[in-house]
Amino acid sequence: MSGEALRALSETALALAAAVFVTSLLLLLLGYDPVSSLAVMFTYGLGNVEYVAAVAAPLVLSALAFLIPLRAGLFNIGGEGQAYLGALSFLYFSQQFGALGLLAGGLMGALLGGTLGALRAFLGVNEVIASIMTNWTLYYVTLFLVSRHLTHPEFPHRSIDVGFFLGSWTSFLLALALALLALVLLYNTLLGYEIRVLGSSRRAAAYAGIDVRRVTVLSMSIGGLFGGTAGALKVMYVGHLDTTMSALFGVGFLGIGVALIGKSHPIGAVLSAAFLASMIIGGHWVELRLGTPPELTDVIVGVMVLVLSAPYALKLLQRGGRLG
Amino acid sequence: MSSRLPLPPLALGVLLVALLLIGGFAVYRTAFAPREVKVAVLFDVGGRGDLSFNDMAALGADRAAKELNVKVDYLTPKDLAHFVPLLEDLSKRGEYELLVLVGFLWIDALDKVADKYPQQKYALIDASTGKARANVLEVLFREQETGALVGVSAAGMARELAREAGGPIKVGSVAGMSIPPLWRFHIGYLFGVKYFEAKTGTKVEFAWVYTGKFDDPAAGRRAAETMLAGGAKVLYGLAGLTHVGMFDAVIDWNAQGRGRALALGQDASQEWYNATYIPLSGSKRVDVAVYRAIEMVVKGEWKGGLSVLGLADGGVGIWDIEGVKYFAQIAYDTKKSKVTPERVAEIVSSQRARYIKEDVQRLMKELEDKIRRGEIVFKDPRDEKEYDAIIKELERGNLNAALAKGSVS
Amino acid sequence: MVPLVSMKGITKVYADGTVALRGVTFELAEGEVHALLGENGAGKTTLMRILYGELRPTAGEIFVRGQSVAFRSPQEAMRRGIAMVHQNFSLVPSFTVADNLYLAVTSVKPMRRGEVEGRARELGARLGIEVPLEARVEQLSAGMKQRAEILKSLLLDAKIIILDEPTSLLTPLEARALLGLIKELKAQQVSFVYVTHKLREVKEVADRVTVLRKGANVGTFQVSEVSEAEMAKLMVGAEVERVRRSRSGAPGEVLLEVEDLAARDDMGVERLKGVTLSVRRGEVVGIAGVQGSGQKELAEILAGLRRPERGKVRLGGVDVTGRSPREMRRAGVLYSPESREEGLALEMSLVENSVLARQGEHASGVTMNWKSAEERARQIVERFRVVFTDLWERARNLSGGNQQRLMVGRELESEGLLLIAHEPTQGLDVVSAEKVRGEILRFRERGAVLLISSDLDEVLELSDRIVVLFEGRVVGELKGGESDLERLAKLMGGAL
Repeated sequence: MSGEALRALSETALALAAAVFVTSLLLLLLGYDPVSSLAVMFTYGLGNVEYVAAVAAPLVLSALAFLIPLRAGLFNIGGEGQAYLGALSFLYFSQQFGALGLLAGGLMGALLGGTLGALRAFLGVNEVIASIMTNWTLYYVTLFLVSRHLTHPEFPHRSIDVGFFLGSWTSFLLALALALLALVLLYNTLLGYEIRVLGSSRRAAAYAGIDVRRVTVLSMSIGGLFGGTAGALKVMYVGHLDTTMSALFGVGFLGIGVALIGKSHPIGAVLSAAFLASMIIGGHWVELRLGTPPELTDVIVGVMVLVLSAPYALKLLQRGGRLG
Repeated sequence: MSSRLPLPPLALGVLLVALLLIGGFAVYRTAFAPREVKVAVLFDVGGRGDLSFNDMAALGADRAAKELNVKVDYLTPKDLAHFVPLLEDLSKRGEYELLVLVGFLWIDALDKVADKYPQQKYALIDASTGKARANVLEVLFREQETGALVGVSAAGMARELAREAGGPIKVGSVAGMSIPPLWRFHIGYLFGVKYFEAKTGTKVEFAWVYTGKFDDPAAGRRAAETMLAGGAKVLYGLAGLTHVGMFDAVIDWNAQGRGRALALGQDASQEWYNATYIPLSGSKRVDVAVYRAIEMVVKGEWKGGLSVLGLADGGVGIWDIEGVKYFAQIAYDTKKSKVTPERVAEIVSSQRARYIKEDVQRLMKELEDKIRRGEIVFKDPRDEKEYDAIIKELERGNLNAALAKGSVS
Repeated sequence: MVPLVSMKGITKVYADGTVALRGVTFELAEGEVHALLGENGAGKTTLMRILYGELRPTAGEIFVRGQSVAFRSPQEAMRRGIAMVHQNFSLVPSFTVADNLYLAVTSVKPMRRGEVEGRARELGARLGIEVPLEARVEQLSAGMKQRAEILKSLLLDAKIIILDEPTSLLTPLEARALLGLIKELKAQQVSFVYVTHKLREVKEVADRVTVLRKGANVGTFQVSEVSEAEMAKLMVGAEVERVRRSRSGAPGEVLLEVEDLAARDDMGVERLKGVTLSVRRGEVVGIAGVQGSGQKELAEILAGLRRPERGKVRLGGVDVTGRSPREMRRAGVLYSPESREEGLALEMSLVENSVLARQGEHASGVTMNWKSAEERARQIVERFRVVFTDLWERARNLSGGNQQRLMVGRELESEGLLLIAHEPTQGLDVVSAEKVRGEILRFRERGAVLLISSDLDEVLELSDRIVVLFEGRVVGELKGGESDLERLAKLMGGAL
């Protein structure tokens, strides 16, 4: 094992210990038993592996949506909006075209990501601000379409059913395959090389004769492709969208946490997605078993994400977002 | 190759296994506890804290826990993706005698899971899958009935407010999503207002808006402010947590001297929130529904199928002063309100006396009796089209268009 | 007499296992200028950071005026009268000089702002240290910043000032002024540790010299009793083979023609105002000038990284004005930039950096051919003696000198006609620098070199011709070798 991997391993172990410690302290302060809370969370979280796989699959992809542009030094906060668009497109196109709906979801996400990238590359529009604006616009567009045009004839609170379905394991394998694809893209292709040079230093990218605009647009498009697919997988698993938007809301943002915990590495993203998915699942059982308020789970998951990703996120900030 | 690709943090995997082992003990500790009747209440994504629908369900379950000696656990899914797997996991384990599913968001999950676990009993509150199953009890309410009574009183209040302060006689409602229970409220509320018009000859303007949300007070506030600015005098809250924003808008409207208005609550008694400006709430006894479902299991009287609770069953109505006091007590005990229950009851009584004049009281009584005796029965729209048609007819003053049985003139 | 500072048996092992110092003993006497000489990585800066309280020694003792001390922070060192001026300065760029002085002084002892400024003015006037107190630091030249740093040290009542490579960013004239100031302050009983790798400066300013090599003290001498050659030998541990330039024969045909070139920098400041020059095959043409005279913009235009506002660039008779970096490279331009942040992707590995700017040549279709990239990396690190632990480690983990060797080496290992070498030996030890210089001279056989360097000895020694830039214009052209430093320095200062 290389030194780099060894360091990542010990860092993560340390961060996990710190996260457990901070969470326990918080639970104690709030008057809950940290040992049983965390024990319930982890045991039940891993009790149903298929469930974990199902919840993790879209998270892997929304993490990739953030991760690929990040490697080019871009902050794609738009994974959320890309997921909405991907989910809508999948819902719509899967009616007629079945599995191709997944592709449609991914492509629409890519189109959106690419547009954000082009705005940045050609007009200098900050991708973070543009992403946040499109996120909210698409939130309401989705809500509108679900309650007006794609509405279920019997149950007006929700959309029609999706026209294509994959099982939990198949979805997870799809996500895993895409993560491996992302791995190959980053480390074994010319484009991946150019993305990483750009992420390491814009000046070095210019020096190396890399077309910064092209790489900006492409990396954002690829991010969008993953973001759109993440939304498609999520809606596919639920089977429909509803007017609470709870199935989609936050899938993009959570992906940022997953990517950071996974140290911006595709395989790291798979592992951290599985980890977070099991925490979220286990959190339900903490409420059920110990009678804690459901918000407590959010707090635990939030603290875990924060502590686990903090060392890496800080390093990232110190380097001004430079990554190899 | 290994040195080329910085290896991923395998640490996560290793630690997961370690944690799995630690957690294993906890399962063994809890898995083989002595057997007792256990019930799980599964909320929708909003969960408790809405001061109405979900809290009411919890109230009924809590009461059952105390009075029927049942162990009740609660669960609030993070998002829609967890509904099916959680329900499936719980059904598979079979440790709960009854799973109480609160709200319409559970329809799909229940539909997918129920037939696979015939031994597991489910109670779906305030929603229906449209299918009868022996292991599923579905409880619906006749929202039209409470809506109609509230409608008459709201119209009466608006008349008094217009008399005192001028402006149009106008009532409105801030509603949540366009779903069947809300359709029924709409029909009832509009029916009540038109009934008032027909009986008193006083023209009343009517406004209705869907915010699309049950958990967004800010949206409720915006919708309410628009209506108030449009001259509405009485606003009926039909949007869960969203209409708490409506309450705030009405309270501020009065406090800032921008006009005079009242708010009406729904489901739980919400008068305690501000007794002066919320003199009345419609009741929808989600608590009763939950309690009864649990009771059926405990007493061995289980019967699946559809159960519809109306005025006559005590399932819906208008909260009396005792009910107002009861909820004011809870609010007082949980420090949500600083006003004593007695004081709340006192204010509510005087406000009701002031704004619900005798003729209106008489009208309400008359209508209530007709409903209780079954002389009139409201229509139950099967889809949005039928609902729209009924509303259109009602707006024209055709009261009987809302009735499946009987007639009024 | 008790020495002012005495460091005994100082050993420093870093967390990653690197041994930086191996039982070093060092003494500073009252009122002396003591040069600390050594190559990059010899441990000079580490030793001084320990004295200044920035690092803690793994073993060893420190005495100040005979008293044992163990500083936990620079503040504690400052209270004992020790100050350090870092190579890259530690002033807040957006603050004024006065702000910085106030900030530094009050971190050690409370003092009113008026008093700080008053004392700064008085000290400055008495010692002839002219620094505009109200100017923002970012607007100052390197020389001015250094004066501000020294003034800061004196305001803190420093009796011992550590100067780390003080002339590395200065122009020749500024450097001369600094040496004058040191002599002046020495007369005022201020002692200096002068950290450097430049032999000439040691001779010029120091009383004693301590030579470090690979973390060990290899001798302390009276400067008057040791020759430059002896010092160099101690420093390197072997005889340094100076590059013997063999004058090439008559230069060949014109390779590069630059005509009336004008350009602005990123801030919109006009940096090149009509430069015309030419380079013939077989020539090394040196570009001399104080920083900001337009040499950077010239290099960037030739590398395709900057568009000229007017003018022409012809390479081998073909007009290549305004071409992209990729096209320039294809036309035969090799570019080793001044900044390693530009010429290297520091977050990426040695292998990946070995193919930077020629990544396309190491890809088959869309996939990278890492085998050929590794092959190339191996060639570079072997030929240019880059010290590394793993070819796939980040370039950032390399020392500055190794990064420089990697970057220059990569360019020299490539096919090309014209090498633009901007500060090619910065951060290199004497041996490596000579190696690179030798390679630059050898490159003449393949084409021509445009050498831009602030090391005037280097320019004089390597160039066949020297073009002097001043404020974006060519103010003179000298023959290499025959010219003297005096004349070159005058031209660089704008004296015609």
